[in-house]
Amino acid sequence: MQSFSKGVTEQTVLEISRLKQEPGWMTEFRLAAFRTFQQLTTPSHIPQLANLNLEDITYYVVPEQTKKRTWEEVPADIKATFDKLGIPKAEQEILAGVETQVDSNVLYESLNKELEQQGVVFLDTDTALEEFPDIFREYFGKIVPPQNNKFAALNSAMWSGGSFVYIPKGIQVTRPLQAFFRINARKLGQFERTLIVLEEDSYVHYIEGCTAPTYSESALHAGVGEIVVKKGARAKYTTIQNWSKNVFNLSTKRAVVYKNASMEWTDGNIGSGVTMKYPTCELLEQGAHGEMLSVAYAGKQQALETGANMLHKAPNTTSTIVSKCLVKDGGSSTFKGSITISENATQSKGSLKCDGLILDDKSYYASYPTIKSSEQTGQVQQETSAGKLEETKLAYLQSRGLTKPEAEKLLIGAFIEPVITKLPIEYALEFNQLLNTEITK
Amino acid sequence: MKIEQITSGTYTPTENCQYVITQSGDYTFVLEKENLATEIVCIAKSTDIELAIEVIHKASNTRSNIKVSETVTSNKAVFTGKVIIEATAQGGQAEIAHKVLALGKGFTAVSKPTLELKTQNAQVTHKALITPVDPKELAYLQSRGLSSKEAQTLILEGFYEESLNSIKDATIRDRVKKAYEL
Repeated sequence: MQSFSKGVTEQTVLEISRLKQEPGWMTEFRLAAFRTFQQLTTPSHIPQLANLNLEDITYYVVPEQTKKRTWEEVPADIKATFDKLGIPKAEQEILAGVETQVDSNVLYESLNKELEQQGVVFLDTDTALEEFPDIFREYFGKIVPPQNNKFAALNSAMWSGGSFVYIPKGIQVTRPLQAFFRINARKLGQFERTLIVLEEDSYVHYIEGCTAPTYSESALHAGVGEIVVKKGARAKYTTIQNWSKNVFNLSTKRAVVYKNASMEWTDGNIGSGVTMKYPTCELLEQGAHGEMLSVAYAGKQQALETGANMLHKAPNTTSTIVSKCLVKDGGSSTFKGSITISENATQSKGSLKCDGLILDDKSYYASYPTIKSSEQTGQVQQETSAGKLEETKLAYLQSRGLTKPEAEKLLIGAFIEPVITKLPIEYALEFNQLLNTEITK
Repeated sequence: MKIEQITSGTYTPTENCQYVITQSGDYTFVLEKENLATEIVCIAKSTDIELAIEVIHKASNTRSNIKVSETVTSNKAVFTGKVIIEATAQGGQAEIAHKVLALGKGFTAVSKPTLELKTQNAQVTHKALITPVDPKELAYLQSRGLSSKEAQTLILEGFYEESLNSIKDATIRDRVKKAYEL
C-alpha cells in the first residue's frame, strides 16, 4: 500500500491531484481550498478537538486492491466488517448497489442492471469526475464551498473517494442505494466526498453506514456531502455512524431544495470519539420541505455534537427537526440546530424538537436550539426536554413483572422510537442492536 | 415571596422571588440556596430588545421559570435564555417559555433557549414560538362586530394576559400595563 508522508502541505494537495490525473480546474479548486483551510480556525468549544493533530495524519493512501464488481470478490476482512454490523447475507441480493470505501478509494461497487437501464448513476466520486465531468463541475463545491468551515476546506483540498449519485428526471429508485464506509489503516484520514443530484420528480434513498475496527491512534473522518433536489423530487439520506471511539467525525452536509421538492435526513450517531455534524437544508423555492430525524448516543469518552439547520428562503416552505440524544458513562451530547424563516418566505412553517435523556450522573447533555423569523406570516416553534427516565414509568413497568434493565430498555426504545421507525427495517434492527450493545456495556 | 422589577445585573436570591423584566440587558440568577424557587417574567411590546437571561442552579431542589412574551412590528427582538443545572443541583427543575407575536413587517425575532445539564437528577423543558396573528381568530372577532383594530387589540390583550396576571404585585403589574398601554 503506497502512503504519503504525514501532514497537510500544498505539495500533498498537488500530488493527490497528479496521481488521480485530474483536470486542471480540480487542481485549482483543491489549491484554493487548501489556502482557505490555512486561514480558517479550528473550533475551540469542544475540548477533545485539541487532541486532533492534523500534522500527524496521512492524507492519502493508494490501496493495493483493484476495483471489484461482485460481492464474491470482496476481501474476507471487509465482509467480516459487514457481519459485525449485523447485516443479513440475504440483504446483499436485494441491495440496489453496494459501494464500500476502504482506505481512501472506493474498492467495491456494484450497480444492478435495472438501475443502469434507468440511467441512474451510482459511482465512486473519482470515477464520476472522469466519466461525467459536466454534471460534476456544475455542482461540485457549489453547495458546500470550502469557506463553509475549516474541515470542509480540508476535505475540498484532500478529498478522495465517496459516492456520486445521479437520478434522471422522473426516475423513482425503489430500492435504497447503500454505501458503507470504513477506515482500516492506522492514522488514515478519510475525506470522502458525496455528490447527489436528483433531477425533477425523481426519488432516491441513499444510505451510508460507518464502522471502523479499533486501533490505537486517532483517525479523522471529515466528509462532505452535497445534495441537489430539483423540482418535485424527493431525497432521503440515512446515515448510521459507528466509528470506533478514536475517530474524529467532522462532517459537513448540505442540500439545496427546489420547488415542491423534499429532503429528508435520518441520522444515527452512535460511535466516534468526537462528532460535529449539522446537516443543512436550504429551502430555495416555493413548497420545498426539509426534515431531520436524528438520534445520538454518547458513552464513555465520547463528545457528540449533532443537529440540523433549516433555512426557509421561499414561500410555503416547511421543515421539521426531531433530535433524540442519550448519554451514559460520562459521555457528552449536545444538540445544535436552527430554523430560520427569511422575510418573504410567506406562510412558511418550521418545527424543532430536541430531547435529551441522561442515563447516569456522570454524563452531560446540552441543547442549543435557535429559531429565527423575519416574516410576519411565518410560524416557527421549538420544544426541548431533558432529564432522566421517569421513575413512575419505571416503577409501573417493574410492577408488571419486568426487571429494571428490561423496563429501562423499553423506555429507551420508546424515547428513540420517532426516529427509529423512519429507518428501513434492517437498519432499525441493526441500530437497536448497536444501541443495546453500547448501553448495556 | 419577594417581587421586584429589575434591570441588568447578577442576582442571588435568598428567598423565593419573582423578577419582572421590561428592558434589554444581561441578567444572571444564581440559585445557591436549597429549595429556592425563582420566577422571571419578561414583557416587551414592539420595541428593540435584547434579553440575555442566565439561570445557574447550584443548590439541590431549586426551581426556575422564565416566561417571555413579546410582540414585534418592525423591531428587533432577541432572546437568549440559558439554564445550567450543576452537578450539585440534584432535583433541579427549570422551565423556559418564550412567545413572540408578529404584527408587522421588517422585524427580526430570534429565540435561543439553551440548557446544560450536568446531572441526570433534574428536569428541564423549554419551548419557544414565533407566530403571526391567527387570521381565523381575527376573522371570527370581526364577524362578531369588532373592527379590525379592535379585534387586534383584543388578541393582543389575550396574548399578554397570562404573563401580566402572573405578576403577583399589583403596583408593578399596573406600571407595566401603563408603560405598554395594555
